[in-house]
Amino acid sequence: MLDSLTISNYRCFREFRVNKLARINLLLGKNNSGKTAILEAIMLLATRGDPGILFQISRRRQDELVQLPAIPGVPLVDFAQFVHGRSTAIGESDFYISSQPGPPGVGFKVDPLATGTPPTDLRLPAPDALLRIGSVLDGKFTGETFVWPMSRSGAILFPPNRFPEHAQTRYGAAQHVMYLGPGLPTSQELGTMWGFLQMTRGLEQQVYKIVQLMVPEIVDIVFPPVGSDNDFRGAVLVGIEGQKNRVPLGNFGDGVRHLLQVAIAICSVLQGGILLLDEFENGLHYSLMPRLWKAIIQAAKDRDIQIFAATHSNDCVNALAGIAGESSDLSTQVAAHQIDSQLSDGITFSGHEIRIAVEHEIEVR
Amino acid sequence: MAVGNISRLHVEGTDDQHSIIHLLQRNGIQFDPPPVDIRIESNDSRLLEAIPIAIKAGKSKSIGFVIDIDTTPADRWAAIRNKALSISGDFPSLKDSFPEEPSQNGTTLDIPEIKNRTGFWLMPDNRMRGGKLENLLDTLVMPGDSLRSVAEIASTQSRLYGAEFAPRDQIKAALHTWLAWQKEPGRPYGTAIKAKYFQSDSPVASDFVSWFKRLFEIQ
Repeated sequence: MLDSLTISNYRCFREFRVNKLARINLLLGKNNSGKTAILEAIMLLATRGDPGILFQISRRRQDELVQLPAIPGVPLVDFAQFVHGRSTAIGESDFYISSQPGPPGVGFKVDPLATGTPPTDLRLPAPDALLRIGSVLDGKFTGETFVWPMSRSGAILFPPNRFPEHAQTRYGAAQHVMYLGPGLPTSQELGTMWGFLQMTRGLEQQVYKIVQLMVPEIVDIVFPPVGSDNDFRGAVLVGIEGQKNRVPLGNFGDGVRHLLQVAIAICSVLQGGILLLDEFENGLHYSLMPRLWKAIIQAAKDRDIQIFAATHSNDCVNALAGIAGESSDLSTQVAAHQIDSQLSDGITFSGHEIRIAVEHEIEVR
Repeated sequence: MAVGNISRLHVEGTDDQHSIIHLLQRNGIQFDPPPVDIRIESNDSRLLEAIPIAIKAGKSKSIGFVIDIDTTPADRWAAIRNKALSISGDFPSLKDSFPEEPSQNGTTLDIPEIKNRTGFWLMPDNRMRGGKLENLLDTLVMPGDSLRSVAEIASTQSRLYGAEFAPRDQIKAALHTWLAWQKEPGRPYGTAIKAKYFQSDSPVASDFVSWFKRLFEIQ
């Protein structure tokens, strides 16, 4: 598990540390405080700088893809968005993400074309700069680095799906880190993840165990075949103890649907991995929060997963405060971190401190 | 309900809250809307418990604490200082900036790491052994008020007739007795201040108001 995270020059962060990480970490702060950027940084670190993640991040933020007139219709990533101050000056534009304990941090740097040989694709214009990606220690690359083609002197990254040997990270088979956000994964993707999980019997059972923490009578789950375009809520069927016919998951309300998504994601993340939740509890009724979070904490403990959840929700904070109050073990599993890119460190509240804050009506969000 | 971005003053009880609000209003500070959220803690232990968390959560705000001395100023301050320094790991400037003793006109200090100003007022005057809110209110009784002297005598005498209040609460008994004899008998402290049974400008009270304005940056 990570104890601390350090971000240098990434998006709104000049130099920022989040300390005293727990198993479950709430990231709190106003809109644009950098909470999502922190989730992205963890994703980049955990995938060792997979350029496909830069592409995925841009797609999620929707308006940050650009096009080159020379290759119309091909969405490209504007690299400047990732660099604090939006510089793309060759040799100067870089950012780094590291953690304690290791592995080593990961760095991204725009370098001159002459310094490396990027993969090429004849369908694309020749690159004129390189993005160098690799492990870093104290701001310097260590060991082998790998280079990615860029255009317009470092402004634009070429899309990874053009280079099949660097396939874009997709939802599907087990990974070290996974992101759940508004609309992601889609119900199709969730169905695919479930399909992979079913190939490992033990994992399928673990999903049931997690869902049963909220609805004990659910005994199996069936997704519609991949390719059908049914709405998730109506089409996923669950088998109930003692009943002959399955019923739609939607009958059980939003809480179980959220929990199922998280359960599948937790079981799809490799043991010791990381799950990133981005405002995932939006729209959930407050009364469901405590049970949902207890189930998530238990599952995270069982699979040794570390969770980072960006949230605005007072109900979420209250639920975790209540859980922290129930047992000192649970209290040590959670922490909340106020994120503000104007400061150099996150302001961290332990589980015990979250409980005191809620009892005294002290606003921590 | 937790109030969003507004600065906050933590006090020990309802009497403190009402007295402070009316005293500040009599001294020209508007409370519509309130400049500060005044939060009542159920007792001194709860208030002490809140100190490190309230400061930590006090980014870009002012946070104040008003607590009775009750014992000795040194003991009370030691308890407060311990609580504040428990978060000096997060805010190293506190190690040097947190004073060893309370300031006579109320303590304020800045925590630059989070652009916070924190303040402490030990009732009544940051130095009186065994002091409490009532000692400050007593300074606002017009000097020479004979009813106040009679209330004091009566309270002392009452113990001979079986009154059960502890000696250290004599001042409370005397003040409430005095209030029982005012034009509208039995008004609580806050409305008694509003009704001008109490004055509003003893040196201690003026120091308190100045401390409040300094802490919360009010003109």
